[in-house]
Amino acid sequence: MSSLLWYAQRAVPWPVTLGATGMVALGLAAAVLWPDRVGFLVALLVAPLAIASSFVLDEPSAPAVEVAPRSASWRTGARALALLAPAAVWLSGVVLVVQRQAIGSRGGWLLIGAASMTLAMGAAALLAASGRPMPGSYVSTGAALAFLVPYMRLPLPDRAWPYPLAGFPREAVLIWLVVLTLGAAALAAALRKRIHG
Amino acid sequence: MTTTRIATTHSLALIEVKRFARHPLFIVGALLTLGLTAVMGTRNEPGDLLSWPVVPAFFTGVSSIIVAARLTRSAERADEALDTAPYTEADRTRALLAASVVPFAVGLLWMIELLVLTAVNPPHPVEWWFGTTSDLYVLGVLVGNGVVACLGGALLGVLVGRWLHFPGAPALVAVGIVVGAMAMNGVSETAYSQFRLWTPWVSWHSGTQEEDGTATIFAGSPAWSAVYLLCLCAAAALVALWHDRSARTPQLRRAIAGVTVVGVVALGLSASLGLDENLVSPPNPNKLAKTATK
Repeated sequence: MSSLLWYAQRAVPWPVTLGATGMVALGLAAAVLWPDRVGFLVALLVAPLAIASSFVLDEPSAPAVEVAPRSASWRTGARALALLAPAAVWLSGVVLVVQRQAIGSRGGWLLIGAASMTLAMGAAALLAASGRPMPGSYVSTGAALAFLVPYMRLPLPDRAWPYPLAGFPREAVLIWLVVLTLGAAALAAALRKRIHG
Repeated sequence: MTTTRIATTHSLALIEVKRFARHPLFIVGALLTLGLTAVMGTRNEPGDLLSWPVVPAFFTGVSSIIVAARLTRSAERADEALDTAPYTEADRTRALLAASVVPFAVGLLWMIELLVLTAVNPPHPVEWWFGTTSDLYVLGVLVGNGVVACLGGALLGVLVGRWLHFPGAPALVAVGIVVGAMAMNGVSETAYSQFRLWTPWVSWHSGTQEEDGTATIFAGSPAWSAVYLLCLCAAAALVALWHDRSARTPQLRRAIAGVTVVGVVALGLSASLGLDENLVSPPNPNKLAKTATK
């Protein structure tokens, strides 16, 4: 375990991972403190949550790492430990927000968090396995825009509003289950192709 | 500046304008801006018009932050080669700043498109628009929240590209801007709604309240807010230039100080002039009918 942590500490780009996690933490804290004013913010925080998961597979020294004795799955596992930080913040924050504010279901928000993080990590893994050693900037750009667009609400009928702020319709649950499945499938496919060698 | 230096900056600017205009993310953002507005403007009767500037601000403005930052950083990857080039970092920054004319043009096109669409397909008489509130208020919202947001996104992107070098900085700043602006807009419907005016994107319209079909416009002066936002744009450009040590002249220092002073004054005027308090429209019968059918 200590070698996993040692590797994660040196390999993961922490400034952006912790920066995005900090943004999620601040937003959730604001939603807990002023639920009637900024409770709606929780939906926006899915974007920084996905960004926090986008960079964990960035490897600037991919050609050197490919010939190192550690396997690709070991290295990916070590890097995935970095996701514990945003996951813990999201889990504890959502529990508090739902308890204070009664916005939708706790399970709904946890599903959304898991789906967005898995999709970001899966997309990054797929790009890394396809020969892009630094997929984070591409994935984070896509994640930022994709997870903010629903907030604009513009072309969406109300039943397609995909966040559990006032109810969590079955269509919305289905959307997030599809996102989660796509992310998991991308991750599995990337691991089969061997990330960074 | 010598004639040669001006000519060099012009040719660099032309290159950056073309790179910006051809960037896939910008093209998608611009098409969504103009396309969504066309769909929304021609479908039924346009409503909640003063909240529509969120379309160019998000699809063109936010994507321009990322595009401009990436273009700025992409040139810096060739640092060693650029050191021998006959122009300075400040010249390259000026060229990148000039490229912000591209999203600015999209913002202007969007505003013209909206004005044409509403002339062809007029909104309901109770809608907050020309005639129900002052022309300056409406124009201030459209220019500040729409056109200036497109320009400001690109200028902020250059600033981010120059100063923040960690991976993911553009996406993080883009999300931070949206989250911050939306969080501050939470105070729009309180007695302290003027406290939101310092943010780089300010909400001026509530959208229609579903329960009674009314809509609220918020206190303050959007026109002076647009001036304040233009000062933020100028400050972003000047601080981006400041990154080059050779460009840190007394003239640049004075320009930054001047823009700061004008910006603070404009912010004060945006809070003290314009509407004294939030105004609620009469119920819009069409919106009530839609709510009833749900």
